[in-house]
Amino acid sequence: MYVSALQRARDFAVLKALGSSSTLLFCGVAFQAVVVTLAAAALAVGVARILKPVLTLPVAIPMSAYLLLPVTSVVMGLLASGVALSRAVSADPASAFAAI
Amino acid sequence: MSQLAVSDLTVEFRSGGYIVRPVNQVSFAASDGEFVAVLGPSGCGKTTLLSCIAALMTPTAGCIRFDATEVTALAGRARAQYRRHTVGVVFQAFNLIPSLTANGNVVAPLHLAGVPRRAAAQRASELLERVGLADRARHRPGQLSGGQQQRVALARALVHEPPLIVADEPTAYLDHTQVEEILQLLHGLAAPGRMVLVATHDDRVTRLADQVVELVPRRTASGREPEGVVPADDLVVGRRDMARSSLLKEKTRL
Repeated sequence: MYVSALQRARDFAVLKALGSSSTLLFCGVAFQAVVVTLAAAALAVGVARILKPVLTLPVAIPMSAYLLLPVTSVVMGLLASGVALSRAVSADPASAFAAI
Repeated sequence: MSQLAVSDLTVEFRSGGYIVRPVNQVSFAASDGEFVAVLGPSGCGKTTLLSCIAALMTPTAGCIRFDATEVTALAGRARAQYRRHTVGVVFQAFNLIPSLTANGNVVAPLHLAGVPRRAAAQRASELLERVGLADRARHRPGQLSGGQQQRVALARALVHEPPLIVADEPTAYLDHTQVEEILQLLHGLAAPGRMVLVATHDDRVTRLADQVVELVPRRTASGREPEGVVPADDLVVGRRDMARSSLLKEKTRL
């Protein structure tokens, strides 16, 4: 999300120049962060279930871990995308006029 | 009948220890249906002037009115609404979102305005057809020529049929043939219900214009400065410690 935010700084400015509010951009980036982290959590659960019977070492995964994982992922994802959120909110629409 | 009135507009900001005044007490008016060329050399404040008119930048002093709206007094949601529904912006470098198709770029501002997906897609198709790109709707910006990208940008600027179009040197990155195409499209947009402002230093634009607003920075800036302020170039009008009477300083003090 950090790298993506750096790459999209100009897009944020353009979207603001086209009438997007800071709140709308914030919500959009936050939604992306939630989707990405939930997808990662789902992938992790799938991989854990596949690997569990294969491993020779006995592995116990309590049900609470499956429930806690998405919540933790979303919180961590939002924290990690703090820079992206900050960039989206503070984008200067006038900078969209800058020549490349 | 839309009316644009710019009165004594001044923009100052600090940069590298200097006070920069790209726009210095500019006044002009434009009427509905007019094609207005904002003319001047690079660095004379054309883009800054358009940024203020499009509510992308707040001037240091002066007033901009569009019909009954005092643009310079807008803030927050009202400002976003003005940008969304009243102004269509065309950028020099096209500024299309590279990950979206031509259609996606036109649909984006419609989504921002809460237009339903199907209606937005329909509207985008109509606009791409209007600029002659119906067959390129699924192409990404990287697969389009400069002229085609600028036509997509024009379609994007028209999504809400705004009464005001501002275009910042829209022909700067185009070849001769593409320039003619874009100018024809822009000129055709200046019709009853809409005015078009184009910042340029291209003579081909001024020949089409109903009105030319010429910015002459050195003469107007240095002519008005108090003693002790030394014009360094077209933009810089005074060092920070010397410009005691600068509007920026007065505003900061308030």
